[in-house]
Amino acid sequence: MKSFFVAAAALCSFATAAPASPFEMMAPPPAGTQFYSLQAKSSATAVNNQWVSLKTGSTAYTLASAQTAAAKFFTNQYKPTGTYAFHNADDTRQVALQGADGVLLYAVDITNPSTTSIPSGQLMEWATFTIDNNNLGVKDGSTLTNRTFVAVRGSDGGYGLALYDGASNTTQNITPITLSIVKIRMPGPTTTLLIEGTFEELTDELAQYIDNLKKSQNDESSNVQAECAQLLQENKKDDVLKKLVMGSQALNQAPEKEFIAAYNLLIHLVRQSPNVGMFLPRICNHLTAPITSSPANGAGLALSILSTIFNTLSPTNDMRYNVLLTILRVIRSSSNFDTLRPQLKQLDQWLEAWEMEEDDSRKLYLAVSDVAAEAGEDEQAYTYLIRALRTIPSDEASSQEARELSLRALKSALDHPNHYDFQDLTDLDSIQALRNSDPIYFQLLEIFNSDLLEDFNDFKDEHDGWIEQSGLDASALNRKMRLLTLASLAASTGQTRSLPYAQIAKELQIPASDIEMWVIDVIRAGLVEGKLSQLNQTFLIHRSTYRVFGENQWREVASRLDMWRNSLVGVLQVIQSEKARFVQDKEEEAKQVDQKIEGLQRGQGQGPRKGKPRAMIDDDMD
Amino acid sequence: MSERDSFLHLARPLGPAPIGAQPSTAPLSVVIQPQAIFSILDHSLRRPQDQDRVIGTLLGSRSEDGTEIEIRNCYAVPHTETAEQVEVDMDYQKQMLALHLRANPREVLVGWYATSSELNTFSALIQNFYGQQGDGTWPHPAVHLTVSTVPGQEIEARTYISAPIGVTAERAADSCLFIPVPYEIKYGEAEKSGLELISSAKDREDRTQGIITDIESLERAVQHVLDMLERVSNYVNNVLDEEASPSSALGQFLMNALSLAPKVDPADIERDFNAHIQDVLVVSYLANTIRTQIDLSNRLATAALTLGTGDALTGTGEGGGREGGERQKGGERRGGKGRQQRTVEA
Repeated sequence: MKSFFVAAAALCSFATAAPASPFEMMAPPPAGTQFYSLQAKSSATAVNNQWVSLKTGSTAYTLASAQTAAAKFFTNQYKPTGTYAFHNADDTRQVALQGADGVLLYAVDITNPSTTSIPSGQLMEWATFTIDNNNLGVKDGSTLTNRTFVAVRGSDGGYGLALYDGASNTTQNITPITLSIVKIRMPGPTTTLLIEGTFEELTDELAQYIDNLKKSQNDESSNVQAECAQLLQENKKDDVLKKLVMGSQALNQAPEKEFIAAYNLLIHLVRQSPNVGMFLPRICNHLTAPITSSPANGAGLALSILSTIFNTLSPTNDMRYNVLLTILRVIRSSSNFDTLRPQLKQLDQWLEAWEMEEDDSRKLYLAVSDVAAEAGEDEQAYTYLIRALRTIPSDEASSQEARELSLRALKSALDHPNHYDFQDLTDLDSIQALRNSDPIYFQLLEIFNSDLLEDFNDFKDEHDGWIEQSGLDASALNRKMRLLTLASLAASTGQTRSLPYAQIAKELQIPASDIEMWVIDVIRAGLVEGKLSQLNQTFLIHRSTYRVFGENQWREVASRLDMWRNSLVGVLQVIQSEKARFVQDKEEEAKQVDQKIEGLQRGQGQGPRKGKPRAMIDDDMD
Repeated sequence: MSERDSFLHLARPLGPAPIGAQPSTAPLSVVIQPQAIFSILDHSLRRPQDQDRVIGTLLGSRSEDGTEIEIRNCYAVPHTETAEQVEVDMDYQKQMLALHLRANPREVLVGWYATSSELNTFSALIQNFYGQQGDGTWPHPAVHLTVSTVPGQEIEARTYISAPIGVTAERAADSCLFIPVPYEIKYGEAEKSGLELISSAKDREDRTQGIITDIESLERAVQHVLDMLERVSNYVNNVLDEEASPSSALGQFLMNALSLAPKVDPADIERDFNAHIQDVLVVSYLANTIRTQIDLSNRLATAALTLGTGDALTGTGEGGGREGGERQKGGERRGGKGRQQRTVEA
């Protein structure tokens, strides 16, 4: 207990010693400042790898699991002590440690801390952090040796962040952590629109341009320029922008060479308004309208402007979501899926960065799926449909929307000529919900997932005419079922890895003459790899796909891995022993040569003819 | 060059097209060869102390439809920046370009680089200079490559093309919009392993690194594969122990990969291996016989020459003697040399 008092005294004295304002106020930090996040490391999994974050409206730092939520700090060194201040976002706010008794000092966000702002009865310190091996430490004159950062479990189940003195008892539920300092990758240049000129000059030029355009379209009444000039004098910048954005519809008639330049200027101007969100939807709307001046490249032009809008918004800004939806609309109407395809892999990353709700993610996935379907990319369409289905939470799995989507996915999976894996479907909650709402569909799915042709025929007998009624292609289903049955047969052969023709004919219910055709088809479908042996009337299987990947298959994988590893260990041993032998041989050889030389020298006595023995060795080597 | 910025590249600005072709807005991508990056970094190291960034010209090739640009080479271009103005040595740029094109006729001007991630109005000016009609990349867009060279931080590269901005000609001349485009740094296996070797010396105090032998690299590769196998079998065991959630796609993939190993009997392997060994032995025996033959014939030929003492013979024998001397080893070579010296003296 004594040591605690000592520490507290040390803290107090430091807190009062801190200057009123150690740093000039120069918020926000200059461009190019390195930002950091703090990540908790602990042996307790509940708090390990969590990120220090600050909820909006709160001043207490907490732990969050998503890196996107992490607060971004920059550091500033306080020269007299060599310690650092951790600033959040700008120079006025920084991390301070605050607590009533010094046992737990909570990490809080304080604006312009000074000796006068310390609440009475509380200890508070700031700018006392050290960076040690990329871990956060505290150096404030305290003599306690076991101090550590801890995660404090709150009543709501979340974790707060505090510094524990390491000696006192506390009733709080605390978990020791270390805070590792993670460099944040510097974001790319925020502004890529580089144009000189003041807001007033540029708006005037754009307004004039719009007027001229309208006049050339025989719309003499337009007078955007004068109206803008009027509003500018009243300093109503947002109203000016409103006028320009309204007038920007005319830009769709601009000659294609000037189109991009004019729109870029508009974006540049709009970006200067604090209410960007008000104008962008309208601009996006204008861009989805056909561009009359350029029938051939209109879509390309619109896409180029839309991607500029997208790129100039910050990566975490969720307005990007709406822009992306607009882009998808444009791509859909211009059937331009190929340009989108390489970008799709970033989709998940974006959704994470925008912290989108599941509903919105689903909408986006569905939009992508629609675009892909329109472009005839069935595989992609299906993939994104499945992703959309995954966003449906399990408690809504039986809703009407979920049911429709699930049926759509199921049908397209069944109808798709090259889709043989149904396990991803059966894993979905919403598909499982079909068991109750549409039992026949579900039965069919189960058959395609794991059963054989015979079961499918039973199904057809039981539900006569159902397949035709539900709009599925019966012959395609038959064919698919045969291929899947053959794959199952191949997988069930086990170690023998061969399948007699007779068995294939029996299970597939086909004449013997067709066997090879079916086998070739199944190889082409990628389900099985192997060789046909006409002489022995068997199909030798190299590899087969397992329709249901169960425990036995995992065991098989494990045993093969073990086998591989054992043989590799053997190879490694051979290599190492050979290497060791080589080294040994080398040494022995060298020793022998040495001995020889020595022997010769001794034999020759102090003879002056040194050249001779060397020549002999030379010859030996040859 | 860690993760990429998140941006979207769907279309490039509509540019003028060659006669007879439709102008296109197809998106483009950039491929960077590492030697270009190296010389940029080198240039950055040698820059004057008071200069924050240095620039240079990028050379490379462009695919026929202009959608893929490959940066292969670059050279530095002197420039000075002050608060008000930027000066680029245009004459130097022109001369250098002409010289480079003479040496590498297949490369063309593709754009320029700067050794700072920052974009400013000077960047816009220089970009317009490189993209202009005549000396620039017109009608293709000029590529701007920025490579950040802040010490202590990771190197970051970004590539841009530009679009016009502004509705009046004067405005458009000194401003532009930079459009980020995707890029890829391509290097071959050989370059990669070479670089790995070189960079492994950076952690050693004497800054040296021996070149590893074939057998060592084989050992290392086996070790590496073993480590990877360890990881995979850990996962599989976890699945079997129901500690990890199984992914059937992963299982399917593993199964396929493991099935690639052909199914053979150990006896077959033994037989094939023995047959192979016998082949190898025969080949090496034959090779030895041939070598002996050649040796023998050489010795016979030089023996004939050394026997002859006439001056006339030395003249004609010079060429043959040298040839023989080169092929032979040891004592014979010494003899050959001695004789040649004699001829020179004579």
